[in-house]
Amino acid sequence: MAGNVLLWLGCVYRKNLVAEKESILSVFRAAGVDFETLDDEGCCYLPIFLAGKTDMAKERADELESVLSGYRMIVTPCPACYRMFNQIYPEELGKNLRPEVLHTSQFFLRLMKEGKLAPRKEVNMKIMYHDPCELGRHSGVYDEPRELISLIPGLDLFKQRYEREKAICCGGGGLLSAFFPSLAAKVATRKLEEEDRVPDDLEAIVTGCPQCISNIRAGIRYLKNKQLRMNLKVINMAQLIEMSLGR
Amino acid sequence: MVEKSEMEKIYMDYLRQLSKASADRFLRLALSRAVESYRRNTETALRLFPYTVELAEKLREIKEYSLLHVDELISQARDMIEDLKGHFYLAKTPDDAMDYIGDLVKPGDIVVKSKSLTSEELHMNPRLEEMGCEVYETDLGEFLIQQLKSKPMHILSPAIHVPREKAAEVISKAVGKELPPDIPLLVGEVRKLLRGKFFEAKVGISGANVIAAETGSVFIIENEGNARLVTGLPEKHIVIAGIEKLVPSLLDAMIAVEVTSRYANYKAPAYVSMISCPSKTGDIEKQTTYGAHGPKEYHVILLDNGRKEMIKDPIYRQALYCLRCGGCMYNCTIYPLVAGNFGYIYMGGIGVPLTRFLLGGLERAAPIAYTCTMCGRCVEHCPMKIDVPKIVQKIREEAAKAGIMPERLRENLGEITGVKI
Repeated sequence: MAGNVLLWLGCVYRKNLVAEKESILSVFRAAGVDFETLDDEGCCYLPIFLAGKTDMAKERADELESVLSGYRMIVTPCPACYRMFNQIYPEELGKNLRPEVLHTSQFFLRLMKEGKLAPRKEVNMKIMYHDPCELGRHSGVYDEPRELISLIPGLDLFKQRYEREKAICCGGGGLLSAFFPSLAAKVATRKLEEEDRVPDDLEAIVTGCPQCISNIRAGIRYLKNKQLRMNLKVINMAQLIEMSLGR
Repeated sequence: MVEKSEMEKIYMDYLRQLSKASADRFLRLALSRAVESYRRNTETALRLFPYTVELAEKLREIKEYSLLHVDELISQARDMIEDLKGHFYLAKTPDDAMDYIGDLVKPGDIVVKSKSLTSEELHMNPRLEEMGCEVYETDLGEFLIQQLKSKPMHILSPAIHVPREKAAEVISKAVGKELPPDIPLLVGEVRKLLRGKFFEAKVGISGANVIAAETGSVFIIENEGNARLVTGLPEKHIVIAGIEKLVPSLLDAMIAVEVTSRYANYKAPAYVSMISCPSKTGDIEKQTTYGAHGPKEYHVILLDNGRKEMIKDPIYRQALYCLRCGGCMYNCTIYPLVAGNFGYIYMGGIGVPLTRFLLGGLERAAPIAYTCTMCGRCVEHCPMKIDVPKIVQKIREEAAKAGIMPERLRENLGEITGVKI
């Protein structure tokens, strides 16, 4: 297994976003990536850390280190896992992982630049890119997702009022959606209506975080605009790429 | 520490309060307008005075230096205030401060106050009333809050949640006649009512935005002009402020005034008062006589109440850099939905450490900490770049250690992650 790429899915994709997860797997296959997933992956423990249980997160990091060290590269579609391995491990838990850790947006962009993924088919859709807090403000990954989106032909990109460092949180962060889901959903509704001011004909919100996907979907149910409430989709990068690959 | 069951009740009451607030359409509308207008004004102010951003960086350094040398600055301020015939008192606890104030007031005294969040730490108003004083908040927003027996919903605009119709109702009751919801008319009626009180008041109590240690000078930023009257008309003036308001020099204090005002969305505030000692004159034979037109007695009370403990911790210390400009709240994920309900008395993400150390304790700080999304947007907008998510994380660690993580979070997290916590 050494030398391989590990696709670390994260709890939300494994348990709740199954169709979205399948898209990720199918893009990996389409690009001919030699990769593995773990049967007993388990949690990265960022949520446990954020709940205040630092000791438990530390123990889990010790345990996971031996599993993860066997790979050349870890790719994850979850910005929480990404930040856990890349930032919380070295800064808060005193652990430096050997393998390089990438978010899927970064990995897919590499594949596109290497010619292994060639999105050719026009995707005629009006979309908005949402910066997940864990990926953007907390990890500084702003450019790769945007570059990836720019390489998909046919898209009509709507720019919201605040993005990048100033992007508005969807409400799904910091465990709010686990502690008080109804408020988290209201945050998402308010974000779309009052902060992003999404247009009536927006068709999809593209983002790189399963937590944001779930919570923005919850928020869409309360939108005042019926058309948006019925039609607005929230998708990940892999689903977008799939459309352009013509699958 | 509270019992687990009692803590669960605190959490549930808090969540109910948030639910209720987020369903209040008037509140949402008032907040939406306030958020947009704050952002617009601040943008304009920073565009006209772009160097404010650099000045804020410098101020952060000044604040850090000041906190690390706070004992030195306290004794410097004390020496100069006493030298200029003012009185100085360092209060370790709110009770100490209230005892000191209690000796300065008499039953039947009218007390006028200008805005001071620190006075909330003392539970000042009810305690002054217990002593037989008649207390008037003179900032219009605070006046409304006092009449409503409610709590402030924003640090700068405490009555942000009160629409004009409600204000008319409250002011009608205060002045004893039916008034229409006409804002200028309402403002005029409050002005008339309070004008008399300013003159009758024996004691004026104010806060401070910043204090220059080298001269002991207190700076108060305001727009209404009420602080000028509170600090200028009664024969006694008492200042109550936290020790974190001290900076070394007058110039440092001016930097704080400029940065605070800009980030509080003003190009320039209507008034900045600088007060160093009681009013005095030497116009007859150069004989200094105190109490010319202004107060005869001047007291500065600096409050510790947990601040020195905060200073010791590099993460919590940052919270004391806060200028109370209120910008974080207008750029918050949660605040625009529920206003100050996302808080205890001190509110918003920055309210988490302030609640923990200054007013309420860990049991009141934990609910706020667990409803912060830790998104970090406030950090981007904070002139002092206070790392609120990091502070919130530390409070959550404290709560988890104390065994008071919310039960509901524990259960839901267990379900999502498959981990037994």
